[in-house]
Amino acid sequence: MSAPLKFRSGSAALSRREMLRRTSLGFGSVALSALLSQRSFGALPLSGEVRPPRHRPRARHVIFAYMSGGVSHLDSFDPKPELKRRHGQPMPVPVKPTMFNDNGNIMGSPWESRPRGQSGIEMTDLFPHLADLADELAVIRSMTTKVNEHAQGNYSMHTGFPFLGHPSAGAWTGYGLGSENQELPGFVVLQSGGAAVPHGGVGLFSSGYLPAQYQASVLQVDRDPALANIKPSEPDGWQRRRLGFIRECDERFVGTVAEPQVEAAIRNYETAYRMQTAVPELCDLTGETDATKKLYGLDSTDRNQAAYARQCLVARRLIERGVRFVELSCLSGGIGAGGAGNPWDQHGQIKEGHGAMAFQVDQPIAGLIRDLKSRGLLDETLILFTGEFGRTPFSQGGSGRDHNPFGFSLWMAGGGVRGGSVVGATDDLGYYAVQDPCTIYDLWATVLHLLGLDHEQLTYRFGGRDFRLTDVHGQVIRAALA
Amino acid sequence: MKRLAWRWIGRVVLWAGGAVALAEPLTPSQVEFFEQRIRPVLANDCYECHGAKKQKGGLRLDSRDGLKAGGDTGPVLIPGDARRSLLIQSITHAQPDLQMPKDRPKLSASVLVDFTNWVNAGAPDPRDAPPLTDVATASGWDTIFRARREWWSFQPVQKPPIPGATEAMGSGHPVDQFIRAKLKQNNLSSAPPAGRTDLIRRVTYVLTGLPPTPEDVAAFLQDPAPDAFAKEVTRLLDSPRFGEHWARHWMDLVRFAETHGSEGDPEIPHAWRYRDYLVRAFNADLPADQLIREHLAGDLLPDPRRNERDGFNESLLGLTHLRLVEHGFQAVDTLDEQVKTVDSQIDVISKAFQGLTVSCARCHDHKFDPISQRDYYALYGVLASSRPTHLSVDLPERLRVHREELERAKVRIRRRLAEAWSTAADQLTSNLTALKAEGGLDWLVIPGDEFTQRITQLERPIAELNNAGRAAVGRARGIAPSSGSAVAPSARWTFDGGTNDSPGELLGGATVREGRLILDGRGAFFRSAALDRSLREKSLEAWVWPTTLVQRGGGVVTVETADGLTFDSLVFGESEARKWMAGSDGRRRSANLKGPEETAKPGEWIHLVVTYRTDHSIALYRNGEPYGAPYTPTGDQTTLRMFEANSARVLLGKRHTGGGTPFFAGEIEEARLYDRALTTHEVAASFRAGPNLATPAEIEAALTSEQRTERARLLHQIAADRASQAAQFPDYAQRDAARNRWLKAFATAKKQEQHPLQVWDQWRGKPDPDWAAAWTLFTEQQSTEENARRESNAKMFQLQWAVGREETHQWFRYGANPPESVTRPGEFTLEPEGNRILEGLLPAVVLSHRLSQKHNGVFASPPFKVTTDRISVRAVGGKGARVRLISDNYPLGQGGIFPQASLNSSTPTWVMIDTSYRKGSIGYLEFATAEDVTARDRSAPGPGGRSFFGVTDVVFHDAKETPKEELTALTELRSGTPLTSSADLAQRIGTRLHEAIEAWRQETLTEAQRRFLDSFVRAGLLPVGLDSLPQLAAEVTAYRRLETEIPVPRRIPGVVEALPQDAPLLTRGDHLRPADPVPRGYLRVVSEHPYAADTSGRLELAQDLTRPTNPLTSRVMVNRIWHHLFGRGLVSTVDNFGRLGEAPSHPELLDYLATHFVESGWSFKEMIRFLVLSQTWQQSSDASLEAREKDPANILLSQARVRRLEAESIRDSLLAVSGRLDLRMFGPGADAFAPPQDQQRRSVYLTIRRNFLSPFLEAFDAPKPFSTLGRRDTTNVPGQSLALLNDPFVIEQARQWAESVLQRESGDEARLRLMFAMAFSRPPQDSELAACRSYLADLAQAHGATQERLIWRDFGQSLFNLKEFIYLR
Repeated sequence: MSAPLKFRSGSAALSRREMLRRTSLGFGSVALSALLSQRSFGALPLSGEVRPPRHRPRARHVIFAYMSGGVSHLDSFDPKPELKRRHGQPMPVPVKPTMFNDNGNIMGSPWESRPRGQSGIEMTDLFPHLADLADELAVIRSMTTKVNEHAQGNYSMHTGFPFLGHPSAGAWTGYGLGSENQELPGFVVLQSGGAAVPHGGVGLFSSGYLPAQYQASVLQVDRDPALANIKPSEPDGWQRRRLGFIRECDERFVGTVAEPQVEAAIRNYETAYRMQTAVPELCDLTGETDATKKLYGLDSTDRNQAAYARQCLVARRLIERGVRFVELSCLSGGIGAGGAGNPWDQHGQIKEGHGAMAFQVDQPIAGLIRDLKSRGLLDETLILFTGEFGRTPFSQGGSGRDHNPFGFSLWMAGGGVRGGSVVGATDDLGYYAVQDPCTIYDLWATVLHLLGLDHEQLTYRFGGRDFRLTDVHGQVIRAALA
Repeated sequence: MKRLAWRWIGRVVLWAGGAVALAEPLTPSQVEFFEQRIRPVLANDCYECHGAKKQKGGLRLDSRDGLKAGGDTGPVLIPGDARRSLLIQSITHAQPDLQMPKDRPKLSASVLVDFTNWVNAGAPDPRDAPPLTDVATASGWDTIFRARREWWSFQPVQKPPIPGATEAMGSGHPVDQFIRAKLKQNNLSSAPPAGRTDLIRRVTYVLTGLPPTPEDVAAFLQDPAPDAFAKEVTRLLDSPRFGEHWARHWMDLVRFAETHGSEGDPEIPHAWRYRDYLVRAFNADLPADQLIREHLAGDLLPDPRRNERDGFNESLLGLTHLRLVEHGFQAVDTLDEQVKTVDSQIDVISKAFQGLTVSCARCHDHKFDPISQRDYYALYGVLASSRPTHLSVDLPERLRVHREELERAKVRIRRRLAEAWSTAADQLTSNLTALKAEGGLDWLVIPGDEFTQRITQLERPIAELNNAGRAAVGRARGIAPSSGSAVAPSARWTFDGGTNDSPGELLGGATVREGRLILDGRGAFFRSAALDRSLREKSLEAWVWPTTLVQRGGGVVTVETADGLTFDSLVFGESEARKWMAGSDGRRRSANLKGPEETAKPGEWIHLVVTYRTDHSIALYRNGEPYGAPYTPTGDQTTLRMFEANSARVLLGKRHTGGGTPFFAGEIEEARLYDRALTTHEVAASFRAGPNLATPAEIEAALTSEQRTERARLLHQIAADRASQAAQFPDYAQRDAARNRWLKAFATAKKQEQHPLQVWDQWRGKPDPDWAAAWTLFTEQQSTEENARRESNAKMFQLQWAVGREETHQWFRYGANPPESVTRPGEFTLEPEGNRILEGLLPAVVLSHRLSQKHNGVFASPPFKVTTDRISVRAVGGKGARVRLISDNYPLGQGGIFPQASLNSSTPTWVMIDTSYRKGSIGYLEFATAEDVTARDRSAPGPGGRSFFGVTDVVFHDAKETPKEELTALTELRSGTPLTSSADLAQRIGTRLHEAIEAWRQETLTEAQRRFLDSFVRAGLLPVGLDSLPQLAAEVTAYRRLETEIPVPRRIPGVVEALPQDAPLLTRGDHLRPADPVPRGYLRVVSEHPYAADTSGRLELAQDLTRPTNPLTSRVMVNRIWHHLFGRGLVSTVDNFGRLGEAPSHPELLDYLATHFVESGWSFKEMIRFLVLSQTWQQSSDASLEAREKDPANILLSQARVRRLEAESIRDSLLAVSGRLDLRMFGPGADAFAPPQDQQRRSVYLTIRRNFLSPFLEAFDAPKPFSTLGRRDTTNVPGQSLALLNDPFVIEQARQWAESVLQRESGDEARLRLMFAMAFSRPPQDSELAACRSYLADLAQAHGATQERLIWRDFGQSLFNLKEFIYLR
């Protein structure tokens, strides 16, 4: 049999001549404009295989409001009257091992609850602004996770696996859909006011084994520079001259090697050059009206709320610029063990801690939803609000709650989401998810579905295996879809 | 396809039958063909979707009937007509929308031929019925296994003939022969040789990761010898830089990192030693098979490698890679954690050494390769049978230095002590006999006491005068007399006289300078002795000076319990940067005070006080003013804590024992502790008074002249009395000291419960007539009491191990002098410093420090299932030693859910740990010295690396109390005739003491005697201080001198053998669903022999991996070398030689090289030399038009590959060219986040923290350390360009470079030539010179012509920006 040799990366050859032709034109304004018209960020052909969407996407962007540390579902989106009735009594069921093994008695929520909006979703007073938007939210009350420590919980929630090394959901999104913007990365994590990376480190935002262009860029929206190395080290004119010199020399070099990689690296400088302008522009809010700023709470006298509001507003600006995936970072209130990396982690003083944290994010996120809606962007933007797990119905140390991976709540809003709906339920004590339990894989299957991607088809081969964001699991949570 | 099939060719038994009707009986050859060629493929690739479980498309292929029936779309088989059969169309991918097997690689060409032949022959099928479901797994796997093992990489390596070896073809280098033969087949030819400048640059980078210097280039260009290049290769292979570069390649394979990741990113202590080991190994050209053996079984090799220069057992260091795993933080479910850990080990071992993805078989049999789930758990058992621990890498004799001499010295010391004690016992007896029945100790009056009495009377008025003076000083400083600084602290640490006036230990490198405690924030702290009174309400005060405000979580002053779990502390920047807070018990009682951010400038002292009131409120003060708002924590665990006397202690500079990052960087002028909460007023007064109490000179100056005169008169009189006393009673001082010692010892003994002297003291006034009856009663009570204790202990406690008194061969012991099996009662250890020679006598015990507290030691039980709520151990220990329950080999546990306790007693003491949380899990007890505790943060090694423990008993129990001591010091007194008087008792004490001392000398002491004797030793009634034993001074000093010469062991992360156990197969990988255990062993496809029952199997695994008949190892290794040299492996998926990997582009060459590799002793350097000396490696990277068309990806190697440098090489090149590269080798890692000017070491020496990877290296695709990565990505992301344009590190290198070039050369052209030579190893072309000049002119205009440095800095940076700088031709 004399079948012709087949090479996996043969497709690179097709573009080679095209690239050589383009190179021969040099990188003057002609090449620059050609680049600007390109719709994919990162220049190199993808080394993995991406199937085209199988269905109409319902959302084009994701805003991931990550509540690091673990929001108590019992005090927010899954109120339990039974806890108030049994307040102070021992748990009637065996208690599973907890992180601190300091398990007290049942603790009723310090917040009152009532039905909200047309849909009548029961919520506490913890998030008054979000409660007003209940009809926009699809609340999933039966979330579960496999781990109950922060770092592994964060990794699981971001990547589907409990350890470093796997791509974050934002990276998968970029890999699946590409970016609509040449100057900005497709996956952006926002920080402000000293907000820290959740436990586990920046590996949470990694591209893992996906090509590096899909990793997140962490923007400090209230700092200058917002991104490492984004601030030009010299005046614009000088830098243009430098780039001119580099181009002149590189052309000579590329002529001797004719290697697409080198050509891509040359183009890369053009992209970097434009990013230097795009990023500061993005973070410059002078063009926003006072009314808009007020809507988000940027004028708040509470430093944390104002800082979080800034992230929310920048998130909208990123969406407007076509960025696919934006993650928001909470600031620490420093209460009840909620440290910088896990500000919602109130092992003690949950009333004060959750109160302060909810105050920080409630109005800004509600403002973001309203703003997106008024601009017609909510339909194409999916907002996801969750922590890495919930909290226990029994107290820790009398005033706090320990981690609960067996049942917790999250909500989604925006494109393709059935507003005012509730999926699943926990038991009367809010300890275990008992009705339609959902996993993190189900969540991401759903998010990818809304983005027009089939989670089983979005794979990447690494180390001899086809990896997915949903590992080998995941069912789309249909009940949450419009 | 041909490549895939090459092993098959020549083996196909051509089946020559004609068309056969299905119903007819089949011939044996038809059956054989089906069974060999068809069924395995159907079972392997089709049954999963078209079998018993699923019938995709309504089709079932696991029986003849199913095949015949077809699926939803109709028949799939037309017997005799393969071309029209849907089955064949789908597997040959003839139909674009129906390509089978789905989501799997296309079946190999030979399989397609088989199927086509089979269908054309009528598809004879012997299967009458589908396989039975339950049998299917076992027999099904066997079939699948047999089919899959035919894959090329599992075939034996055979040395093929060199193509065209007989013809005159090319250089004759075997590599070239193989490569050219293939090129010729494809009508291609090799590129011409690369230019010499390209070649020297290429070889220098590929071998050392650094650019050649202009001198290297010039020397090579000027060498006309035909072997000039070969000499270069030798020079580079001999360069220490070679090992650094190739060690980094290996580090990619073992996911090297120095932290475990996850929350807190805990350190993997000493991991850098493994990196150094690799550098040494590659420089020494350690054979690959030996390197791999050491990675699996470095501790078990019969002939380990000795590194005489460093005193290392090198072979041990390979084991570290097993510990470079990620670990979860505070694993609640430790078994789940262990499954993940072992999975990571299997993942790395199988990918790195075998090119197999074995960890795919954790949940089910491998989907593509012949690796079963049983294989996985056979290997799992091997790895899980070893325990994580720190190993000492020192050669044994290095730590056992002076062992024999110390043993002998100890014997001599014992003899001399016995003599001294015998004399003291006589004295004691006579003292007791002489002592009056009632009244005080007036017989202790000694001549000269009358002077002392007078002096004491005179000192009182002086003290009053001093107080007056001190008050006056205070007034002068503005302290109102009413408030005063009258509040006396319970304890104070001024450091004015070093630690003499501030009792405690300087630890972790803490020092005292100019009366201040200096803390480095990295481990230095001060720990006080145990507090002598209990504390509840309290104030902590300090005058402090932070070194930097950019630090987090350091404690300034702390009160903590001995285990560090309960504490009150003054903390800086913990929950919020730059803010002070009161830290308590994992922040249970902490709150945000909302105080302002600290702004103190360097050199500005801050005064801080935190008060804890009985109403539970907590307040903080800064410089005398309230800091933020006081608060009262709420909840049931937030009340004020009691810190017990004799166990609680104060720390300065460390938040608490066990905190994550607890160290404070700064200086402490003075710290104070008060046993009550100071008022706001008092705090302000203390702030105003300042840290230093008035000096004697200040006090004197503040007195009135009358007071001064009076004071002088009193002082004069005292001096006169002292003189007279000394003149009249020359030995007074000596006798006074002896008396004081005795009194103190006697007082101590009297306070001790069950001390013989306590009994004697109580009864000495008892009239003789009552005595006998009382004694009888007493002995009866004693006896009853002892029996009661014995019974109660037996009832409530299950004695699990009496390790001091029975064989403990099932225990694991590790150390320089591994914890001695059993020592006799009366064993003692010598104190390494101080007046005291020893603390006391020990019962039969297992000890880590029989000779030195520096010796490392681990003593661990066999594994057991935790069945009780508590475990108590009777132990001694100190300086950070701990006992821990380690469940499922999880080495990092800290805090409440990991049962453990510090050992803090020199007397055998029961220590209880609460194991209820871990009930039901499999674990073991581990006793370890501080540095041997794998959970690094909690260990607090003593000065000089000292730490120690000793163990006598372990009991399991549910009771909430520890066992009672069964014998007492009184037991020994009871034996013998009944006593009738105090004198009798004194005599008895004397007799028994003499007996015991004699028995001790002869080492025949009983436990009852040991207790009796020890009670006198510990009380100080038998001398143990050098001050009272001058005759031992020389001997003890000599012992101590020898002891100081014992080096502190150098530890590494490693594993050790423990009781081996087969692991159960975990159903679907779920650790909660264990099935039957699988005997330990290796992958069946490589080796079928079972492993021995009595060892873990790591040694056998090491042998299985490196035996020459292993078809994978040598291929995988040469392919890795090829990959690094040529930029792409012969198998491009270097970590996967399985079915999902790419097939080899030159299979015969791969085998040729694998054979050659083994034949030349697995030598990396020889293989590298062999390959780079081929013309193929030395050819130019210019691609001919023809080659671009026919082989665009250059798989056939018609030219050299253009490559981007690896991240580390880019960074190193910047440093090398700038002249800033620090070529120091080895040692702890350098900080990847240091300021640019401090970053000078080669990248391989940067510390790798999983949660804080170097952004610069990451941008250029340095691997994320989580799995084997033999082939790095080469991406293009804007971050790379931004880094090279704007990163201060890059600009700093450009600046340094410009400086050096400006110094070395003058004139633009000379400078340009030098810079091109340095950066690109070549001279500039004329057109380039012109471009450079024009750019320089523009830079001069921008900066101003005089700004030469800036101009050349910017220019140099632009050269860094050129692609030629980071791409290799």
